[in-house]
Amino acid sequence: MKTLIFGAVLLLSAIPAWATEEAATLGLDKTYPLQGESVQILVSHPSYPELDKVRLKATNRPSSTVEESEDLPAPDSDGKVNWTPKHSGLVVLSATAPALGDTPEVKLSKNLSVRYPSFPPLGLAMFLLAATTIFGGLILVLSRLKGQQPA
Amino acid sequence: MSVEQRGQWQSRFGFIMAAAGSAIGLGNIVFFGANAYKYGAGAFYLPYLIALFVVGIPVMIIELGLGSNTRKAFPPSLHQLAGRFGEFWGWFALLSATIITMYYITILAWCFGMLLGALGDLWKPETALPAFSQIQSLPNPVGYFFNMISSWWTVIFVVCIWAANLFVISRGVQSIEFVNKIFMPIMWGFILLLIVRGITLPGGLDGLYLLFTPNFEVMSNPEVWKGAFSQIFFTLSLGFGIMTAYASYLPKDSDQVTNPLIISFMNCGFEFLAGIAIFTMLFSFSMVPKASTLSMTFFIIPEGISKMPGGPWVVAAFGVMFFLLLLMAGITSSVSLVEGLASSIADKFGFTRRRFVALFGILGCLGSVAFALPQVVDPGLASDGTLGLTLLDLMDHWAFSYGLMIGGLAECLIVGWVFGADKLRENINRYAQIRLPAFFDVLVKFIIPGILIFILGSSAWSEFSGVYGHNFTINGMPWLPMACFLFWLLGSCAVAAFLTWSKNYPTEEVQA
Repeated sequence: MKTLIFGAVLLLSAIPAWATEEAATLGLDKTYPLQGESVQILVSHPSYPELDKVRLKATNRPSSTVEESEDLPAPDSDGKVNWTPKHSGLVVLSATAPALGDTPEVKLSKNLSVRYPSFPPLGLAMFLLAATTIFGGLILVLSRLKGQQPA
Repeated sequence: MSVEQRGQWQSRFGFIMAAAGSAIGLGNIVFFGANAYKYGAGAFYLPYLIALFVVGIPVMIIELGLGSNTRKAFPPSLHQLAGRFGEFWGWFALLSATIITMYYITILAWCFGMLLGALGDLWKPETALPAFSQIQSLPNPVGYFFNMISSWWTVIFVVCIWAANLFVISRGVQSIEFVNKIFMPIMWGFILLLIVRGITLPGGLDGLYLLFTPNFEVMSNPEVWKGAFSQIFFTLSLGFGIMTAYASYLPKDSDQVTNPLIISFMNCGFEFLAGIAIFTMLFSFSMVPKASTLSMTFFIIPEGISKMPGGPWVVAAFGVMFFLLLLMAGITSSVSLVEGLASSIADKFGFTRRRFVALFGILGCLGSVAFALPQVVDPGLASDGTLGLTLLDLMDHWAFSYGLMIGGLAECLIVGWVFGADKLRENINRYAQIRLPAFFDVLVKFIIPGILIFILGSSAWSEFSGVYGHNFTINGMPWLPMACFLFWLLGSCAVAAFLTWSKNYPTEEVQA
């Protein structure tokens, strides 16, 4: 029931980055990229002079104990780069355009859901194990109650 | 106090609904999936299931066994086993539970406010924050939430939720049973609806894969095991004294092996389904879960709902359903929290329910109002923003993370070493259809205390870098984190000592 433990850091990390540069964008050519399949990332900025200086990073399973970061190749001068996700699951794609001349540093991020290339048998096994233990246990205990007196 | 005066459950079904309703709360709906994600998704289920059988079910058996054997609430039942020493720890745990009750009701009041918002304003793009001098506006639902908690409206919501709780409590266990019999089936229905909607969203099924596909690397990480054991302890409402209080309204010959099994499986089954409902939606909308009940409840899941396809009516309908589900789950839990204290006070001081409601209603409501105080102490939202939320954050850390585990540890040590785990096992087995094996004694005496000491010790170790909250922005009150720690520790000890030694129980034989 009462698992509240939240803490200020956790609370605030859920707040979207409202301070990001609105004119700049970080996008993908697919809504749901697929693990192992190439996808094109597009970074755009109305005034940033050298988009190939932008640093891109993909963080797999962010905010988890198995979080893993991967530096991506720099985009070309049009802000485009191809990327093949190595892992399925939630990914935070982030782009940092360093300060250049009069243009201040810009940081952008985008959450992605990278889909599984095929049905994961281990996932099914774990689902069945948990479901069988919990609901099977419940059914087993309830079946033994048949005909028992109240309480 | 006679059975007629204390009250008794009308049916086993009613008792199980009430006990499961107590265990199933906000944490089951929003926290379990987020915790599983944090600790390696599918691989988390293995330590979780082990924790269920090693700690969850045995401690649940102890708590229910204590209640039905002594027919008394938590502190008096520990008094019966170990005298005033036992009783002191019972009150100590119950006082932490009382603090939790107060802020839990504040959170429910916020859920009520969000429910009203779900009818309209919550789904607007952003909300102005006039109370926060350094922030003009924030995107919703974050903006809506902070605007709501920085207004006095939440105090009115707190009073409403307290009134609902006291109305149920004042009418005795039969009304608790009645409320749970209605709310529980509705809650299961809502969760099933959310699952259907989640799985049918684009990419929803992949969310299911993400939740269950294991990453076995995490199994060697002690943090994952600690997370699983803590999750089981908290999700089953152990250490609160609630289950002992509820079981005290059962006949002495009730079966305290099958009852805990049913309650535990129902609770875990509900959170298993809730995990699926939440995860399918989060994956579909690429939302990263946070292992935090408040973030999940007020920010992340509402943001996911706001992206539901089908137009504003669909979004509003799912928003209302989600917050209604939280309110129902929360009220069945908060009623049980208040009942734990009500039955303890009644057993010790002979208060009638109406007298308890009158006295504790006022004190409890004032406590909840403190957690709803809208004064802004952090105008840039670097930490928690308002005074109420800051207090809630600080007190939650101590009362929840430490108070209940200390209560659970004391309970195991008293039963295992002072009273005798074998004696309790014999008492329970006398009326049980499934007999407890002798290994139960080993669990109660060695394994469970060992696990709880490890969790408490490792948490306490991390406190040496500074008292929790020392790095928060709290304008004008930098002493607040230390004051909250001292209030919890010294206040709980002093009040527990007062309640323990202020009055004698009528002499009774230990019903061993």
